[in-house]
Amino acid sequence: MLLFCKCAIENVLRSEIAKDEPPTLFQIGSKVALERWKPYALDLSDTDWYNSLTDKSLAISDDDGVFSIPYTVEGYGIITNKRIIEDYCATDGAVIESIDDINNFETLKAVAEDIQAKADDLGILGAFASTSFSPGEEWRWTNHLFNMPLYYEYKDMGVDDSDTLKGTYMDNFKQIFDLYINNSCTEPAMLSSMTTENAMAEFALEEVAFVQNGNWAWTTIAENNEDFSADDVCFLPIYIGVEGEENQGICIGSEANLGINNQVSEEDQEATLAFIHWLFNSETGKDFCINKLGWISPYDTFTEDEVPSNPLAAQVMEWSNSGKETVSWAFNTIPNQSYKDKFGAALLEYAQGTGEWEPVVEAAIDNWSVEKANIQEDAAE
Amino acid sequence: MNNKSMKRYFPIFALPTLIAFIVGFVIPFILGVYLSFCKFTTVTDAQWIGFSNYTKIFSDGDFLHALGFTVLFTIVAVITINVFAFMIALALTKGIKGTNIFRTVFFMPNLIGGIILGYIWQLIINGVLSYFGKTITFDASYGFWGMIILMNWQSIGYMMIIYVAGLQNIPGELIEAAQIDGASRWATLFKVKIPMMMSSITICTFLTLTNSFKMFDQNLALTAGAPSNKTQMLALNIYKTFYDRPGTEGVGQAKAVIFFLIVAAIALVQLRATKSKEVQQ
Amino acid sequence: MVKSKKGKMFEGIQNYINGIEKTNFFRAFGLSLLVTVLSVAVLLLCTSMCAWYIVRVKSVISSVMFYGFVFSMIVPFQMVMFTLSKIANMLKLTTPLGLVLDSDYQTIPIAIQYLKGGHGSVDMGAMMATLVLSIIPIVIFYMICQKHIIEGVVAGAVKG
Repeated sequence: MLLFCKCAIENVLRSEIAKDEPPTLFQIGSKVALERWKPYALDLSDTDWYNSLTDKSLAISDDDGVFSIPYTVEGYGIITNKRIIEDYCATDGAVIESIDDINNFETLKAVAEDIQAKADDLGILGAFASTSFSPGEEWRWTNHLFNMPLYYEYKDMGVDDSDTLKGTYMDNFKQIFDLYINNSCTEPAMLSSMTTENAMAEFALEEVAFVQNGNWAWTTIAENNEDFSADDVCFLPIYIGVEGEENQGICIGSEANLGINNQVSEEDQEATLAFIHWLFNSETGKDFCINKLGWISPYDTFTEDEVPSNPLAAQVMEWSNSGKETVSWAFNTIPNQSYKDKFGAALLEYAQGTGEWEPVVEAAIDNWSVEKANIQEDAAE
Repeated sequence: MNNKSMKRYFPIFALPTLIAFIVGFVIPFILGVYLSFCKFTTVTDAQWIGFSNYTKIFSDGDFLHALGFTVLFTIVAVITINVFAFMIALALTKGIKGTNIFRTVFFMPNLIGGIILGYIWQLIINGVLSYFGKTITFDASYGFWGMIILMNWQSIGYMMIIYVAGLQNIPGELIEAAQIDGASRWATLFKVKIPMMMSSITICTFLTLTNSFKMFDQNLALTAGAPSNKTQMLALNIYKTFYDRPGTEGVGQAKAVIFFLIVAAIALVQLRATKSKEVQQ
Repeated sequence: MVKSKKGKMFEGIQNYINGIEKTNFFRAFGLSLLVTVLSVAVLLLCTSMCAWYIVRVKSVISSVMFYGFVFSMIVPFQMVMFTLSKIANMLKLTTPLGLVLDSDYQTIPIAIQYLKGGHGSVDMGAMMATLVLSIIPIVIFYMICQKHIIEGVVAGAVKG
């Protein structure tokens, strides 16, 4: 049985699946991916695996069945250094009294700008970590940050996918993006030389108060600074200035979904299901998930104490149980790499000062329908 | 041994290489040309659609820009690399001490692969530019000159070696004869040395021309086309057409055919032009 | 007051140790060496024999082969890249872009790629160290054989 690792790219899957011994278990990360891989996906609606899923909406399915189930749930938001915030609250003229006061965009903006102004006093280099734009690094903005306006627009329309976008929340997107790049330890013009690794290091070395990323980033933080205490981090939701956002939580979802190849023999399929069963039910399997892989596995076979020791993962669980509105991963409906490239390129030009905001809106909204149409053309073949 | 009897060695001597060549090059090539007229995702589901892939190319702004950029880049690269290599070769044939060490050192950059080179130079260039508060993606011209510098750094050594050998092959008597006739240093250079070096110039120009035009690794590693694909060269453009957006592989293949035709045309023209100037020894 | 901690800059030999461990460098090196020696041996054998044939035998086939080979030097890789990968698949060979990530048999470039984690986490120190290590064999080889290498470059380019 061949398992396909998360870091593999779409193209490798395309070559592997055409071979004589194709993978029996592979990743179908989103509805978009399902459209492409449906001919190879086994219907899982009758399996134990699907039934033990705590939140069935996390699975990828359509009218014909359930095809892909997440093996871990992840969350992202604005990772915050609580100690720096506490220090800030103790300064003269601080706009908040404690971190709990930050529950909407206006407050976040005021705090970030004030922290940026008082950076020297606080002994740090800036409020936000670098908004990294090295080639290949735009995903934090074109996917994760863009998720916010996308989620809200879908919510307005009452859908979870759409072939066209109106761009109702693009101004909000601009607000938060401007906040990130103007209140940082790095000049906006220098952003294309920064990578996500740089940003995480800045946060780990306590040079900045905020960095947008997810629970998976904890290992990088811990590696860069062994003294970073788990009690000092928490997530803040990404507020963008929408009404009622005081009730908004962090972005939780999954791209890490697995499907089973329906083109392999029945024995192979059974064997694969047995493996999955072992992974999520047996002691060794569960230990692997929680402690070695640090997964937050969304199954009822895991008790409440069986969570990874990653403090950010624990935060994800906390936020998901807090009763606040979880922002789902709408960005899974992004059409293709070409769309992301154009979007990222326009954002970079805006950020470094060589372009205007208009092309960004064009690339994000107008180009959306173009690329969505391309997918349908391709899938129809 | 005459021709006929040697022919029987064909199966052992030539056939293996020929078979590998056919499988590894000829078949993919012909298949590629065929596919450029089709719409396909894998080789097996191709549908013939005639020239429509080709017409799509001309409305692709990025491709046309990449074409212009690549042509400009190639012209500048060929001139700079060859002029510098020639000048250094001239300097090294004056019998300065340590010529051998220079030769070794200059050749070394050629040993390092394109991707690593691009990556390291990106770090260097960004480091220098950071003093001006900018990065290499700030303006397309930064990327352009960055790649020129990189290409020069990598190729000058190789071309220089060829020029040195070419210079050393010029019969001493010719130079002496020219000096006796009262020719100045410049006249010796242009009227005697260069015509005698024509075969080296042919080869060096051919190599720099084709290498620059087809450049991919360094382009990807240095700028990846930023900003907004303005520093994207043809090879990178074609690669992205294939892999960024499923469904456009046919167009990618058509672009590749055009790419090949352009390179072939340029190479042939250049070879004809310089070969005709070659002076027989 | 939070003190901003400057990261340790000079790691010394630690990067090399890290890099070697993480990429299983010596195994990767051994495999790269094996692949290189075998392919160079086969290449030298086959192409020199073919070259002898082309030079010594005057026939249509020789000319066709000769111009075919020159032709292949002009054709850009993108032209054959896609179709070649499909054929290599059919013949169960490694794809030319080195995309078969079978973790047991990694050669050096693949091993180095593994230092790049998902979501952009790159171990810079280890990566730089392994890149240096991978260039060293080539430089050493060049140092030893430079006279011959340069003779070869020249012989192919200059008449007389």
